[in-house]
Amino acid sequence: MELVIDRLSKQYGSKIAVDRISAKLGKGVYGLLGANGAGKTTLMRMICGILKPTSGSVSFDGIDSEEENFRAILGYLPQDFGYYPDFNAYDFLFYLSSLKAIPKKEAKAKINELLDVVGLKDVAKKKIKTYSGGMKQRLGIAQALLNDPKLLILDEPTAGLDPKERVRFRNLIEKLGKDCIVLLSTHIVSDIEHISDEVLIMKDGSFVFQGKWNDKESSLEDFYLSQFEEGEDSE
Amino acid sequence: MNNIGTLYRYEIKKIVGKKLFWIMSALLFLLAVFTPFSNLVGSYYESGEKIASNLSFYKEEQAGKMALSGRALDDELFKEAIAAYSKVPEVFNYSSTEEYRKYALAYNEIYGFIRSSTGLKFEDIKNWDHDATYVYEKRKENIYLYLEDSFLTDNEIKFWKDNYEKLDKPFTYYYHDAYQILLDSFQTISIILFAFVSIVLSGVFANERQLKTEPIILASKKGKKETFMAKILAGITVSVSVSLILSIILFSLCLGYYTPEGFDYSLTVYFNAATYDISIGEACIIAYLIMQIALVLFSIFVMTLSEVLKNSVAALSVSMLLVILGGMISIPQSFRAIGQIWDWLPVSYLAIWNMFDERTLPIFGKCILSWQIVPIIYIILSILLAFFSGYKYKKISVE
Repeated sequence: MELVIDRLSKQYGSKIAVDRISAKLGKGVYGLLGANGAGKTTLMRMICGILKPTSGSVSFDGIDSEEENFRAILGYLPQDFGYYPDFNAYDFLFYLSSLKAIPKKEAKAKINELLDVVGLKDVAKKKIKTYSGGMKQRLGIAQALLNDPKLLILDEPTAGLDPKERVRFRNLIEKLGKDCIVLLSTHIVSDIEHISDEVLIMKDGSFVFQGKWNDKESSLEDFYLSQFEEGEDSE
Repeated sequence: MNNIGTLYRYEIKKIVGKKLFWIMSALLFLLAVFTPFSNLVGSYYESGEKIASNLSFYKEEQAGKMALSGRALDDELFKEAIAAYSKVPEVFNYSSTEEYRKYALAYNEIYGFIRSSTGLKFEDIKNWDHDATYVYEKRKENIYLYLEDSFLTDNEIKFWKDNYEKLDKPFTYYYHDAYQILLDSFQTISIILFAFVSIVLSGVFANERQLKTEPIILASKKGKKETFMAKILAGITVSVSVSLILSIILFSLCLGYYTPEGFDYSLTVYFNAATYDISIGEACIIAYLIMQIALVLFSIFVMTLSEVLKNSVAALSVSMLLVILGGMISIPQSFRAIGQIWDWLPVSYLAIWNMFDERTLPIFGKCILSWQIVPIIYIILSILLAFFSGYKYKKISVE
């Protein structure tokens, strides 16, 4: 199981959002840190195959991100998770199961299981527009897990979750990371420290750090903040 | 596993799940129910005084027309009509007189035929001294003159003249109110259906962007080809279903209340320019069937706009503007090619005078009538547009 990112770039006019990033990721949880505008979301969208890169490629076990088979192993939670306000959670997940080509019987069982995992079973038949921000985010996490993905891309998954929910979510991700590649971006350094096997720190479209943080003497938070300060100094 | 059936059902749910869909559908339903009876509502007034209800007035007219139904438009019937009209006093508003109602009302359409064929004026009616041969000769003369002034090719003029010669004459008069109402309301119904499609389908693709659901759809296994197909099919299903239901209601009410009599009434008697051998009943079926095909093309067009413009308001504005322009703009006949292309666009074509007009498409020396070729063109365009739209959708990049 290997995700290969090969010289991936995205340029908008004269602005380079992602600058020739290369990486090889195996099984495990990867925490992606970076300030706003560092290029995290752009990178994640390109990995998912929904944003066309200016150059470079992404593949999973040799399958290109443009292919249907790549999307078959992908679970994705976007930063701004969208939903149909008049659908209930069950319908929403069933619709997404169809999009992921999950057989109906299997989908029903999986939906019930995930609704239980994310604590939405009791409100599964209520319209999503009545949900709180945290509930919507949990629904977003559930939809990303529907197809038992081998590659899970989570863009700011803990946004809107209360502390209890965050702990529950961390445990879930830790478990998932044993069998698949999880790439999650966040601003919250403690989330990364707790669950990431490896840390990727992005700045101005490039990785400024890539590896296991345990090897370092200083704290991750200090290093992360120093990257901000350097950015401010150079401005 | 292929889940396109489920995706299709969910796409339909997304379209019909909106309040606006049901409000628009209810308005269309009311329109379909009201249209056949709009002339029967209210009362008939003369000098500010109520004479009778429009319904009772119509009932008299209907009984008179039904009594004449099935008779040849020949010398005998023309003389009866002229005699009846001669009893009406020569006043400005002669159709308001008691005599008109008593003697001439039933002959209204027979008189209309004589007048459109010969140019007879009401004030000359008492001195009219002609026979059926004269009426048919004048009719032929006027139609031929019209054909020659219509910027047609020599081949087309010959085609229409040959067709006119082939028509069985004298024509037979039939009471045909059900079909007349269906044809008279055809353009209005079409425009309103086009507006309905614009409103209901302009968000099919654009709303995914506005709701921010596009990334999770596109990142799913079946989020490209199958989702596109499900959306297009759902959009077509909704618009054609509503249109079919509306047409069935309209046909049922018209044929139920006004009776199905008059199906065989020659279209050329009702609409002079159409000298082709089809009946008014056949014309109704052709018109309403073409409307369904035009709606398929227009639905795909609106959904393509929704996808390309990525904004439901923009897609709605552009499609509504085209519907309005189609109803408003008329290109002079002298600009033959461009005028014909404009009039054959779905937003302009759905009017009887365009559908059954004289301009044909010459193919290998044969004149193909618009209602014979336009549906085929619409089907081809629908397929091409769907392919284009599908190609664009596959290339979407969530910027």
